[in-house]
Amino acid sequence: MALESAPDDRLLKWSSSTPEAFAVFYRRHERVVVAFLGRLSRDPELTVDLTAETFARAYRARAKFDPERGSARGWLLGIARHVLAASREEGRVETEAREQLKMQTLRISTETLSSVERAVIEDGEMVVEEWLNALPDSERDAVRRRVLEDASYEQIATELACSQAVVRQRVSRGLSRLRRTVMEEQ
Amino acid sequence: MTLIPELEQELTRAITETIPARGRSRLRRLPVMVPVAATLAGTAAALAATGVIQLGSPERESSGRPNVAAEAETGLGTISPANSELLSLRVKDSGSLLPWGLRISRTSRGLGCVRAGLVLNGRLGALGVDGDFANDGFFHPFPTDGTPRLIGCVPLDSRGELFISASEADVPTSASALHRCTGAGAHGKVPPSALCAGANTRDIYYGLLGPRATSLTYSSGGTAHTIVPQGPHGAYLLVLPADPRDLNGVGTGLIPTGRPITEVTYRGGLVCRFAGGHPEPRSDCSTPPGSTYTQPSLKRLLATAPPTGITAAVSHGRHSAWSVTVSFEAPVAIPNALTAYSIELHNPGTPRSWGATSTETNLRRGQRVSISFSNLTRPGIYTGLVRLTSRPSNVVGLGLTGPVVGRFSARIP
Repeated sequence: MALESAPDDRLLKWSSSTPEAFAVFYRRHERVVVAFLGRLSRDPELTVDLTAETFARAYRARAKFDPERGSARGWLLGIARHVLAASREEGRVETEAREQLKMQTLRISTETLSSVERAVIEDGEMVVEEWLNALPDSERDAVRRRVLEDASYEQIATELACSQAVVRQRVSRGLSRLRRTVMEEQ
Repeated sequence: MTLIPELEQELTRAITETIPARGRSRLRRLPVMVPVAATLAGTAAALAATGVIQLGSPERESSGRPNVAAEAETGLGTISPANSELLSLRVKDSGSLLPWGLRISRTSRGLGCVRAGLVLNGRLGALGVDGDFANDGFFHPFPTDGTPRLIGCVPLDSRGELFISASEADVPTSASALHRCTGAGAHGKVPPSALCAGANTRDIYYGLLGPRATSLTYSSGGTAHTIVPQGPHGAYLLVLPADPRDLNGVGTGLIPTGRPITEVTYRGGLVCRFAGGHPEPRSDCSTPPGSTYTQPSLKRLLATAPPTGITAAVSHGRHSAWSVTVSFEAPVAIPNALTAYSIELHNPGTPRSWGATSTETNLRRGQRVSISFSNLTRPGIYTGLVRLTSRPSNVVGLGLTGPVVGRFSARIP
């Protein structure tokens, strides 16, 4: 079977002995991950950094991917969201997976940054909305405002006319549901 | 085509390193076909003279001839043979049959470009070897018309002079821009399918330092080398073995870029030093000595223009989402690539940007501009603004700073 037409689980499996298999997997999902992270981070250079860590983690966790539990796209977006959330908490993008892989610092061209910006403008909103579609309306609004727009719980509570505790619960449930749905990295 | 080729390549390299050589599966190598005649004659010039290196089709990134008329007023603009010049600078490369050289061009939108490649009979191009052009062994000239490459173009200075420095890593010795492969000698272990078969790759650094430049010093193989910039433009071209630390990166700017370049001296004793590809912080080296750049006064331009109304129309877009089309009449003409209008859109209830884009075309004063933002799904009032912006020294992307032309809003149900 040609690599280009192989299913995602095969590519991940083969990538243990054939690096080109992971390159095909990367090419297949790069745009979605970039659009997703770019839409949430709003910074092309940060997007590249987050994307690099996301794929490094995906490679590390490749044995955990189970196509019967969800798509590779959803799995990758789950990992991406974890990487983004950790970067917001720590004020920097984690490099653990890249360090494990002994990846070198990338020298990114302005041409690449321009491509990333274009991809985010063209597809960012659509990718994020598709990701949120797995949630009921109430949770979707709360997750969107909290995760995508960095709104405070107080602000969201005022907008949605409910208590902060309810907002926290909706965000928490929503993220748990997304984790279950997309089988995020353990 | 990947968005971040640097990341794809580094991931592949890093993963390859983790796999013991014995356990690594081997994919098919690209066929190696060295022109037989290369072993019969001494030099490429001799080969060319006897017709052994034949002329192939021009290297184009898309098939067919470019629509020069349509592209002349958009993007980078277009180049033409009349506005292009092959410089006399030649650099020998032991891995190539032909010497490397530089060609400079001026675009129809006021930019200056430089391109590096192999030279044969007064033309710049690439060879069909190492897997490129189906290994046909022919010389494929780079087009002298159409759209220039995105790499290697910057605004001209206010006197119309071109100062530029560019770098490209992992360039095949064929010099083709269409096929980026990886040299095994440079990177060690990479998937065979990504290798430049039977050849090494090069990191190339090139540009124009201006007539005042007297020397350029670079480091290669642990040794410092000094060269004299050539001709009235102060041209330089370094063709070095690919460094594994430079992962398919490219860069363009006004001042030298790239790790190997450490120092440039100018008439009058000025010395500009570089560390890690960046100039040391001193103001007289932040732009090329001898150049003059004056940014147009955008505020003054706008102040003399009549006010313009900006409308934002909402319509159904794809995927059950909405689109907002922003329209306005250009208050100021956009005559070239040095200025543009940028349009930003903000999410409902937040000043954060949903996205931004810019006009990339010449505009007459009063000409209608329409830009659409699609895939909007969040209900509420989107706000936005239009700015008049100028192009910084790097042509990729416009800065979002500049005076505000006007604001708009649109309600998504």
